[in-house]
Order: sequence, then C-alpha cells, then structure tokens
Amino acid sequence: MKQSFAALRLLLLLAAVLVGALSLASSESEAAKCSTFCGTQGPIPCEYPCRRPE
Amino acid sequence: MRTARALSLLFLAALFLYAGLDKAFHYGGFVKALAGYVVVPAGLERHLALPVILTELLVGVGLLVRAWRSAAALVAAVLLSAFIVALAVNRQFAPGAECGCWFTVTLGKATGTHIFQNLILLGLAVTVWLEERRTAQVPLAPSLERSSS
Repeated sequence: MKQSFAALRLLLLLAAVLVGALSLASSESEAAKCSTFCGTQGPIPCEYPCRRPE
Repeated sequence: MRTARALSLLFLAALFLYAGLDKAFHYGGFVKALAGYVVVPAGLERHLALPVILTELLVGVGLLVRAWRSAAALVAAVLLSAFIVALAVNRQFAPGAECGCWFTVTLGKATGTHIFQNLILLGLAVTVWLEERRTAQVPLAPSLERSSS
C-alpha cells in the first residue's frame, strides 16, 4: 500500500516535470507575445501583457 | 520512498514560490490577466490579485515548514482546483485569453496544457496532504487498541 502510494507520487512528479518541460518548449517568445497581444512585429521590447492598440 | 516524498515537497514548494514571485514581479500584467477570467467578476481583479499572490507564497513557505505542511498542502489543493475551474471555464467561454500563470517563462495564453498541468499538481498536493495527515495521526497504544476491539 505504502509502496504503491510512493509509486503514484513519483509518477505524478515525473508527469509534472514532463508537462512543465513541454510547456516551456512551446512557450512564446517576448516578440510572439507582443505580436499576439499588441499586433506589433519583430523583437521590440515590450512589457507583457502589452496593451492592445486603441 | 523518502526521496520521492522530499522531491515532491521541494518541487511543489519551489513551484508555488516561483509562481507567487513571478506574479508579484508582473503585478500589472497579472491584474490584467485576471480581468480576462470569466469567473472573476468585473472590477474584482484588483482586489483578488494580492490575496492570490500572498496565498501562493504562503503555500510555498508552508510546504517547507513541517508544522504547516498539512495545511499548506490542503490550501495548495484548493488553490489548484480553483485554477482548474477558472481555466476550464475560460477555455469554454473565452478561448485564447491570457493565462497569467508564468509570465517570465511560458505560454501567455491559457491552454489545455495548463489545465492538465494543474490536474497533475493537484494530484501531487493531495498525496502530500494525505501523507501528512497519516503521519500526524498518533497511533493508539496497544492496550487501547485491544480494549476498543
């Protein structure tokens, strides 16, 4: 019982690390974030989340 | 087994501390992201942001302190459940809204990955809470066990 509990915990931990890594790998760059939320192009410095154009 | 327990605790504590600090350093962005959540009534985001950040930081610290661990794990589970519901509702009614989860490292938009990630973390928090509860229970003395049976 104790061992299966520990195994479940280890499995959850590994899954969390894996999904976290996947999430990191598919993260948007600052430029992409600006492009998505502000409609700006190129790697310009911007504060995320940026304001959408009025 | 002890290693798995220690790793889980450290992982969860580091995650909550990082999430809290990340939101604190991007406070304006977090308030704006909260405003995009369907479950957050309009105007409440400004009052909700600080409690959420402080709770995350307290959970992170609490998981590292033995006396607070059980309560911290329970609060972590409640917090993660609330995040899951909020993200799921947004996915249904406001797809493509900002997540406000990891400003410095990961996705800007709320996706199914975030829900899946939170479900796993919820499972981890629940196992920590269950184990803490189990270890906190004082076993009955053998004489008491005999008399109660």
